[in-house]
Amino acid sequence: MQHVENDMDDLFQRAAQNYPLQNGKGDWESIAKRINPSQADPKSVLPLQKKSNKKLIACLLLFAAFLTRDLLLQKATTKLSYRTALSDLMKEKENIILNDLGKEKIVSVAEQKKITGNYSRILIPYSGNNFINESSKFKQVHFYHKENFIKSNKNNQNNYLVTEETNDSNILTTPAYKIRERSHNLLMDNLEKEVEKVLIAAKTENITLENSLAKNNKNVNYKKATTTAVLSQKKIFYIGLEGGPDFSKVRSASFNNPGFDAGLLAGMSINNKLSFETGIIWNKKNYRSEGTQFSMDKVKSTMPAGMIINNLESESSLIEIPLTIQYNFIHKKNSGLFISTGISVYIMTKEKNMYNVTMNGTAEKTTGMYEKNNYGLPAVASISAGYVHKVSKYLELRIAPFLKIPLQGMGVGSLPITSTGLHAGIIHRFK
Amino acid sequence: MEKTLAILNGCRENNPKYQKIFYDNYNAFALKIVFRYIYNYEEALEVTNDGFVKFFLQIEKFRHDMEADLERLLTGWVKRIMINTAIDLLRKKMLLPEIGGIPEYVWDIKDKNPTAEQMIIYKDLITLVKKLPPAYRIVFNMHVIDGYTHIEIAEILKIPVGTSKSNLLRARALMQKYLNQKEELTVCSM
Repeated sequence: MQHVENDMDDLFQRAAQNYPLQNGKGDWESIAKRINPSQADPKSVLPLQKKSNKKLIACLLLFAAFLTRDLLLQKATTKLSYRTALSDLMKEKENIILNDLGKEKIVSVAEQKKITGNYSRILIPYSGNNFINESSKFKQVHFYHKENFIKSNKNNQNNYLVTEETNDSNILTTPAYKIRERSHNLLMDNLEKEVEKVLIAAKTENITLENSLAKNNKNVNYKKATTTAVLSQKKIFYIGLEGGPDFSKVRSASFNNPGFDAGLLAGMSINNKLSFETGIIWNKKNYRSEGTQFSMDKVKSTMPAGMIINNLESESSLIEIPLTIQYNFIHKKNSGLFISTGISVYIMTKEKNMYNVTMNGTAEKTTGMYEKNNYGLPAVASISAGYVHKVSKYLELRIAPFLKIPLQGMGVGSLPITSTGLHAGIIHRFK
Repeated sequence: MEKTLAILNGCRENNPKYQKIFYDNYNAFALKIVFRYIYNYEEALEVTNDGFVKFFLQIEKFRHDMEADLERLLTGWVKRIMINTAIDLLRKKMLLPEIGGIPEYVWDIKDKNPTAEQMIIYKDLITLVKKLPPAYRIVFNMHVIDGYTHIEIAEILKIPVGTSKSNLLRARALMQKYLNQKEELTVCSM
């Protein structure tokens, strides 16, 4: 027996010396760097450093460009809003002031004969609606009511805007509708100055135009859309960063240590209610599973015969690509509530399974590491609900718990993994 | 021998040229040792690199009295470093068994080689060794192939001598079982 053993030992010794093994190319450079770091080729180090520096500079420049763009956009938006609001409000103000004078009214042809005295102005439904002042020369505009004309003017138009240059003899009027030009001019002068003063006050005191004008004239009722429509437009495209803890498990197994998610988002808002989102998220999942949930189909050939998996713990690294639709069911000026749903596809980059197995009646532990996972693309359906808060014109914070339900098994064992957790994120919107 | 001495002295002086020559000369030898201990080929490559780093950093500790024994002593020194580095990794992994097959690309069997059949036998034997659980594999390799005594094994692995002996017995029993299974398969396929 000892002879046989000695012979076998000799055989193993010969096998150990002579067995055929690929040497590979060797990795002398990495060894050289470790033993002689000062003699490491500077060229091999510098380009890497240079590359990193270049990337960092590029990121900083991009960020600076974003900031500058935001600042310029804000200025332009303010100017635009200022000018537009001024123009809109002057129209509104003019209408209201004219009305408030108490001397203007729209009269029909039948009524005009009953009117005595002079009227400073008559409102005209120009272009079919309220009058629209197409001339910037307020002072020189005279307004005539279309129905007041007994005879039409030479152009045979129902509505027209008459300027100072127009010869009044072209228009047939009754004496009751003489225009008091002087008072009109004075009124327009005052109007312009008044509105200008109010808007400047709004800008310097940083209060809304609506509130500012309301302070100065309580009778005024300004349409919110006039002021707010210009100042707060829905930003269509956005990008963001999101991350948070991830708790995963397989069916009835208990939760393991938390993993985490972190990634980039990109989205597009259709309107104030609906948005589409996608992104790329790095996942680290820790989960447990009973052996009965683990499918042996993919690893049968590499497992020892007669081995039974009792249970396992797994640590997996994945890349997730989500595609979701978000619905804002409560949308206020600075905050909102939303729900979102969609699907996500996973690409597993690394999987480490620690198995508790029974082999030939003996309990044992064993580990499997799988780095090149070619076992398809598992998918999950996701649902979440959250809260979003606007911190500035272009920045939002949001927080949303989520639930991900498996549509396909994941990993070498095709495990149906359910995940839940909390995502917190910061979003930047583009105009 | 003179050449070996020159290379060794060059390595002692941290001369990269001689260090590279030494690495090229001993890389295959070192990898074969490590691959008997470490299951995964890529990990075995890393451990071999770690072993060479240790060798070059600790080269001052290597002493030889007689120049005639230089080659033998140097080989033994490299072997010892590689085995210790492999054992360190296995301890870090808590001696947990690995699963998964050994890919074919790690073997260097040339069909036209007259000794190809023998190479296959050697390859199969080493595969059986790698199949052993790590605790048994270490003791089997150290005692049967590398010639360590149980006392030396117990000292290196910090285990009782009795454990070393019993692990070896179990390793031999498992090895016998694997060989019997292999014979059955061969008979069945015929």
